[in-house]
Amino acid sequence: MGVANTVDRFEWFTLEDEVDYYRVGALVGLAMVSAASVRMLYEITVILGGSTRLLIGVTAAIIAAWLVAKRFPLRTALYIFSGLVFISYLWYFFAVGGDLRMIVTTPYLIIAHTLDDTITILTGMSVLTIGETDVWARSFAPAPIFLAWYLGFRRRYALASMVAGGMMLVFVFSGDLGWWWTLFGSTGIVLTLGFGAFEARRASVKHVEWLVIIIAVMATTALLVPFIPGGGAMGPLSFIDDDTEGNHSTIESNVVGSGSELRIVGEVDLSPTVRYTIESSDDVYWRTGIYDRYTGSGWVRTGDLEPYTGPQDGPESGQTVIQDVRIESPIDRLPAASRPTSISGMGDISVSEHGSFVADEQLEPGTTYRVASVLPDPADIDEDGDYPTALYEHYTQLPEDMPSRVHDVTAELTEGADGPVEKAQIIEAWLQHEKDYSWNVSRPSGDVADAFIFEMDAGYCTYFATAMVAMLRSADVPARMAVGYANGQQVDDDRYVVRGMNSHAWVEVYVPDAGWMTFDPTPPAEWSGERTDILEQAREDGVENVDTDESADLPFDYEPDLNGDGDENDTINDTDQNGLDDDDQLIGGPDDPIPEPGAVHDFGIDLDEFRAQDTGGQLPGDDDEGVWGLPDRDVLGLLAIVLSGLIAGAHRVNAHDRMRRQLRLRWHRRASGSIDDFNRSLERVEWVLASKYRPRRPHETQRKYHRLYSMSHDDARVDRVFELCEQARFAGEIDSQRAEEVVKLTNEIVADTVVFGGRLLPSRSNTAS
Amino acid sequence: MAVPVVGSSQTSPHRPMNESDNTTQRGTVDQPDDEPLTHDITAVATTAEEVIDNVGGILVGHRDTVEHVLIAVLARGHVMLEDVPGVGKTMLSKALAGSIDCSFRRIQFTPDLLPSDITGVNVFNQKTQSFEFQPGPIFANIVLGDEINRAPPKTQSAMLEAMEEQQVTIDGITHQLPHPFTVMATRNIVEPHRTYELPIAELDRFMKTVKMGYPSERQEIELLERVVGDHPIEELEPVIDTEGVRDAQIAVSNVTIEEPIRLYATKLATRTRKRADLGASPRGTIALLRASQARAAINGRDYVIPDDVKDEAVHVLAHRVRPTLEDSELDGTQLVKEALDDVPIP
Repeated sequence: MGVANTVDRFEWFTLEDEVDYYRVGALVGLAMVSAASVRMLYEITVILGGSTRLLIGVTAAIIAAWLVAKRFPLRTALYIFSGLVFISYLWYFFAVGGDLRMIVTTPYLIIAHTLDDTITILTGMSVLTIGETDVWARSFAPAPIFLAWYLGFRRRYALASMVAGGMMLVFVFSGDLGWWWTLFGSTGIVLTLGFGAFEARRASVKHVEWLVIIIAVMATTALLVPFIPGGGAMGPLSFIDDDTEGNHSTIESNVVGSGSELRIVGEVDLSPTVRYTIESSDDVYWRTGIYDRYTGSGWVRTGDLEPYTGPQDGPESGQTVIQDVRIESPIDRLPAASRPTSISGMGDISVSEHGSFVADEQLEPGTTYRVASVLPDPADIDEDGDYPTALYEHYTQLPEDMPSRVHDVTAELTEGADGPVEKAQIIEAWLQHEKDYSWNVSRPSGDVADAFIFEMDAGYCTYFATAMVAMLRSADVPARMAVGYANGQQVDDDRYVVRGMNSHAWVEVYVPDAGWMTFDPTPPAEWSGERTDILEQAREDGVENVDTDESADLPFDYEPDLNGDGDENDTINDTDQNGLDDDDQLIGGPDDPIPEPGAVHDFGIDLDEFRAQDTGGQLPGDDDEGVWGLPDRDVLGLLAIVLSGLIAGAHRVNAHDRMRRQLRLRWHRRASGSIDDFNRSLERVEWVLASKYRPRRPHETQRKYHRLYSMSHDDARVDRVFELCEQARFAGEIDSQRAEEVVKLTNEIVADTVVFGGRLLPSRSNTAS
Repeated sequence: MAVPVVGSSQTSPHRPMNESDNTTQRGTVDQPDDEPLTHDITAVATTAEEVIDNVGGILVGHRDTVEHVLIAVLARGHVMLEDVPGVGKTMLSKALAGSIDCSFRRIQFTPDLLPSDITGVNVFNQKTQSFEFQPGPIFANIVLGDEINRAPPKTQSAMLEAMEEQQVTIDGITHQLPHPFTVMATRNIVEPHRTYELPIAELDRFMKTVKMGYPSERQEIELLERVVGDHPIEELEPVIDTEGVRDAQIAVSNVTIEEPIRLYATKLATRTRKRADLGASPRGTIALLRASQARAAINGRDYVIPDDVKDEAVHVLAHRVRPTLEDSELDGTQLVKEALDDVPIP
């Protein structure tokens, strides 16, 4: 230790009492790389909470890096870094439910778990899909930030950019970092490396210009080549409109697709293909998945799958529904009423953290299985009961940047309501009443729930469900979005044909003691109408697989007389119009405190009031209106990079000097009577001679050049110009008469030789004498 | 020395394009009326041509060398002739002195040469019972110091005052040297072990270094034809008297140097300092400009152009530049040429 190393040492920005601009440039680059990563983490914490703590952590890490860099060698910093990494993983481990005993007994499990999450992220899954992302985000940041800035402060720029770049790379691989931020971070890396090298070698403006050119080339190339194959550069946080790809996604692929992310898209299509035939004692909602994390623009499913080993825990009491499902299309999702407890007749099955069954392989048509579900028992409801803390925390998560007016309007709506069930019923009824159903919507920008509530008049199930979950969560009611199929075509007393277009999204609300209960804010009448048309159209067109043997001859809205069952609220066209069994699902019926939607028109809510209140924030509709105003940030940023590249390039080749020179060479209208006339005339004549004879060599004097020229050319005007210029420049013979003479002669010489512009000069020979 | 421009252009706004005519007029304008108009640039050019021809009648070839030496005389500088023995250094000096009607003395430098052997001594005269000054060989218009580097430093230092101040001081009494005064020295570069390194200060006082080089085969045959038998030096006639030389020197010092030329010379000198232990001194820059003036004058021009500076730069600056030890393969000439390549021409 103690060996003076000229590179590894701490210095602030000054070097011999001068600001060291290279160092500033390198650290700015480092700041850019760090900003790309931290911004990503910040986005996560904005959605999940804790953004302030993240920023404090990052700032503290940088300050610590500075203090450590001042005094301590690299080894100390590495110890601190390792300590930070260890602490952050420990923190994360406890947050995801580990306890101390596991550390002692099964340390490899921790490693396996951590590795598992890491691999998940690096293979292109959004970081939002891992559990407790907010904790992960907050604990992940400080260690690499600390090390990168320590190295930066100690002038080890290559290592610093490796650490910061590696940190950024995690998000590049996870696909969360949009290409714009990837480019931003990469630019930072180039700046850090470039300025770091310049600092060591004392480079000039020329080199900096080259750097700018390299960055511009990088940006331009980035436009042409996608960074990460598979569109990884588009995370759930970016607002993607699938419409831009020219074809609409189907609601089914969008909603019940098996992915862990659900993007809320614009217009969607409906598929009339038959998916399942289900034999079920009740017409229930057949759930295939749960989304629990709302990002403001879409949904993310967290948690892992575990192999199904035996019957699952269901509600303690409640009606058991047995469903026999026959699969009609190749598919890997297993619909079942909430909440499924056991399944049989199938091969390898996994259970999601939320209790849904997932087949491990794609299932072939003809496969059948039997699943038993236990419906929540209304008798268990304890409105005053307590929520489990972890569940409450997890299912009341909302993006930090969701406008507060969502909360305000919900508060006013549910004022006076008791308990989660009543709140849910009010919101459900309000949404059904307030919004129309439509497949043809354009995806809003900004927060989808907010946009749907305040800006849009219509939407489809995803919008309704998203809005309802957001409102419930803002009223501190744990809620989540469920996806699956509902309202299939009834072909017999207890048989239903379910098509792609029956895919649906609805809401589950957690009610203490009873568990998750189903609510559906989508207005059912309008929903079913459109689908009938589609099915009929498909039948007319002879599309395959739109019917089973049973369903072929029946109209879509065929209803067997079910009154004999004694359960008159069974069908989707029931009076409460939400298609759910009242007794089982506790959704509005004749006895409910909520009046039927058709009868109530006034919820006492004036949305304009809330719209006006929030004008300070960015309204979701603003972006669309701003299309014709400024181009968006990406375009502006790119433009800036490319422009600065062009400017640097132009400066590099002295474009402005050349341009000025070209103008100076062509036009010289008036003699000023100063030495400038002669210098300029000489330059112009030399320019003419350069094309007519040859350019003057760099170290050839004008006299020698002229002597050689006059050997082969007899040109009295040129001779005189050289003579006048020599006398003016070296003998001081300058006066207005000589100046006019030289300008006149030069104009004549230029006019004789140069076609463009030259001929336009007025002849000055008359005025000269 | 700026020339009043207005006068000349007012007198003839439509002057013919004859350069010499032009310069003639300018030369006259410059001089006060009561002095004889002998500082005529055209006269200088003509005389110079005659002198060079005259010397050329004796020394075969070497026209450029003669020109360089003449320029040094006109610019009141001293010349270091660097070459192997026997190529005509002494003959050149003698012929030049004879052509301009100047006294000529030759000093052979040897290791035991004393300063007083050069400057002269005070001798006690028994008749007058007083000391009388016996001038040394330095008291001549043109002094040839042969193999100057063979004398010890003390003796060489005696040359310093003479060369720079054109005077010698003996026993506290200062004696003016004749005017014009030019030292032409030769260096023995073939026997380095029996020589002393010349002090930089002394070297710096030489305006220029001139290498004569061997004559070509044809020139050497002509030389033999001419010299064997009756040597033409015996019949050499001067073409100008010392008074004429002094007038020419005044004319030369009045040649115009404009700002761009001064800048050019300065840049050249600065550039030589970049890669050398010792670059051209400011005295070197002054010498460069004065030599350029003389060159302009013998070309009949009363203003200096970049060509003059370029032609003089190597001869004036090279011996003042001492390359760094790492660049030992470089010599001053190369460094000056580099500077010429590097500095843009005004």
